[in-house]
Amino acid sequence: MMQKEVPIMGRVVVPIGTQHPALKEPASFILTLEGEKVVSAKAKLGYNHRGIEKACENRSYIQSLYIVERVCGICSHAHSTVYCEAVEELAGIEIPKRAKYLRTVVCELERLHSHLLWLGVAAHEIGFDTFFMYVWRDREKVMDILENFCGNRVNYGINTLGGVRRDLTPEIIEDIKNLCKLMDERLKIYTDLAMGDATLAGRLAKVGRLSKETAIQYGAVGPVARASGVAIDVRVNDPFAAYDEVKANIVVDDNCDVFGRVLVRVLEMVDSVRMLRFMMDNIPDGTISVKVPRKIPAGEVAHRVEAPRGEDAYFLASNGTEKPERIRMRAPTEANWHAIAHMLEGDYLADSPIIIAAIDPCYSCTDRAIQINDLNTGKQDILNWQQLKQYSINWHRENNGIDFAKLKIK
Amino acid sequence: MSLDQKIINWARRKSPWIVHFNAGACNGCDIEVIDALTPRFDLERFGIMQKGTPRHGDILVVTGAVTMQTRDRLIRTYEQMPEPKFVVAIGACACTGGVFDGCYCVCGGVNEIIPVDAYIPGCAARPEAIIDAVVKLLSTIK
Amino acid sequence: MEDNKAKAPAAKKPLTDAEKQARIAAALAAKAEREAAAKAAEASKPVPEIELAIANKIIAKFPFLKERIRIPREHRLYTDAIEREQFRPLYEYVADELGFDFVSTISGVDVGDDFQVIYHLSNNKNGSMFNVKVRMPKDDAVIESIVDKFEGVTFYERELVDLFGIQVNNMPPGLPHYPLPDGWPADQHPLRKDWDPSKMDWSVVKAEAVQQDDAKGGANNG
Repeated sequence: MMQKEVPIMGRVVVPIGTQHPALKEPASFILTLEGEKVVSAKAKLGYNHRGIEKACENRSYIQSLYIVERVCGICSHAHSTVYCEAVEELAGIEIPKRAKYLRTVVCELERLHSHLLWLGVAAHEIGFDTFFMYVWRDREKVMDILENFCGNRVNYGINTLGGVRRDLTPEIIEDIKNLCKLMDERLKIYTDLAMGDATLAGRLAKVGRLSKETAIQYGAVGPVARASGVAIDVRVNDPFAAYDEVKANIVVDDNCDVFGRVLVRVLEMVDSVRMLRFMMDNIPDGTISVKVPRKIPAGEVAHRVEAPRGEDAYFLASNGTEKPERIRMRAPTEANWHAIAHMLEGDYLADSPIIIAAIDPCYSCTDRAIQINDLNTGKQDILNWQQLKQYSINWHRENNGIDFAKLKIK
Repeated sequence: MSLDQKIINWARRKSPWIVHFNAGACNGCDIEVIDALTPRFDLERFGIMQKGTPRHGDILVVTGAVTMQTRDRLIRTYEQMPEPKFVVAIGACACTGGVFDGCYCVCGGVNEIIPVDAYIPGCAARPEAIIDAVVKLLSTIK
Repeated sequence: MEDNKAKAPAAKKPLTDAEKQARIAAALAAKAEREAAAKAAEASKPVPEIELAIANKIIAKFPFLKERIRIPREHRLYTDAIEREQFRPLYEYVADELGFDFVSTISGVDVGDDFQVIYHLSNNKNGSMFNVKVRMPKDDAVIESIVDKFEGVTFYERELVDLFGIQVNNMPPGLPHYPLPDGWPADQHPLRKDWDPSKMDWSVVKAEAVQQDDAKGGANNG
């Protein structure tokens, strides 16, 4: 079938129709345009709803742990930590301090890998592939440590009910210290790039604006909220694991745009490195787990942790048996989606990919169709993510002279 | 086999184009697929490129237990790919449904929906395993 | 055929009485140690002064909550089940006057004859979560949306609709299904305890059609 080319807004031509004419697929974003600007945006989500909450009601607490970890493969440890702490609270169990520290070590390693992942993906979205490759190469060092310590690169499985399953060895401690040294250097380069490069600033500043009041009103969490001046961070406001002793700094910025969201994540990584260093020097001795009974006494607990993307909130109800009565999971991205229409509306279509990417959604969220309704012509186009991304890169090159292919990294 | 066919086979063997489809995954396997493209693992040195459009794809790489919402699109994507085409199920969920098998919105592994040529277990499947499977698949294209 | 079977493991020797006693004693000792550790941890925990003060203020204004607020540890307050009409004034008070201006999430629970909807309200300055439980009979499962006061709840309220069949009034119009796929039968609510998957017609669950690119224009999908 011949590819059709359709002018979008009469400016840039993007081939569409690569999908089968009878393709039935719900669009995950519906954007209405006036000229080149988005005047209304709707997000339609739930593509990966699997029925996890129901599944847990039919599994034991330890089986549910393995499902909970796989709600999201990028912040799996956050999910597993909030779940374990909630069950431990219901069971009236206090886990050893060393176990709390070890959970915290993996929390911060996860934050590093997740932010590096995001940085690379965001770079990729705006056509800055050199940077994407640099950052993901650094990320491999974090993955190596996670694998050595926990036994797996992804879905680490370090948590168990009552503590953690593996302990640090002197070699791993040395590796983490070396990682901190390396990250100090690399983060300096990234910070300089983020703060000093005009092309990057030109591409990201004033894009996807979210004022402080709106961020609060829409319940934004994590780096998205902090980049809009909202000083919330569960590690500091409502400490879990070992964060009562391992103090985090809340990284707040008031740019209120995508640029701010980049800055906040880079500076959070700097803070994570500081905390890892502190923990390597101060981790208390002791056992790494205690026994938790199979049957959990009846009760209810609401709990939350700070995942890399923001507050991850759970509600657990137990009924005295081996199986949970109810588990409610609210991942951070679900909170941040409420504000997405607000961030997209009023900006150019060409900025939509990076605005969506900047809330750090699940990778596969961007793997869906985008429906564009043009108010002026009354026409409707369907794009996939690659096409929208290409349109965006072309548009910025033509209109603003922004071309990352020419940017060098020192 | 005609000369044309031999050349096409050779080209295909040397540089297959991959279409990546997330059927409802937790993203763990997706990031390992992307990892396979980055310098440490470097799938591109085999000439393997990731393409957005199924119409030019040789290998459909699927992650995740297929959910109700993605099932039809998976079928359509598969149908759009020209022959010969190959399907690789990456990760425990794509192979059998993984930990989510039996959940109410999950259809199961990819082979419940479309024919699968290679299964890569793991949770998540490692980049080395992904590359290994793709290269093995290529060697079966005579 | 017998030869091919793996040998069964040697039968375990039955425990002597002394061994049994020893095991029981060890298990009891371990349990006692755990309980003592938990007690010690409990004793050394900070008294939740802030939460106690918050609870007192709330009870002063809403006497029906006397003896019905639990504070199991610092940073957490839980109410017993309250009636729907009692919720909104309470929510406005704690949000406007006591700093609980952030809705972390909303949880629906099926408890047999009733549904419960629990609003998890957070104060991000002092870190407290105030978890307000609202009950309603299943045959009258209707509540009012709070989106007019806090915008970031539409996904959570839609989950109550899709997964429990609770009716939420005054939600913004035109919200798509969430999280269930379009085409999911309207009377099937998976998180109900009495939901029977075998009674559902799975063939109707399909992805929704998008408009063809050159056919109709302008029609808004969703």
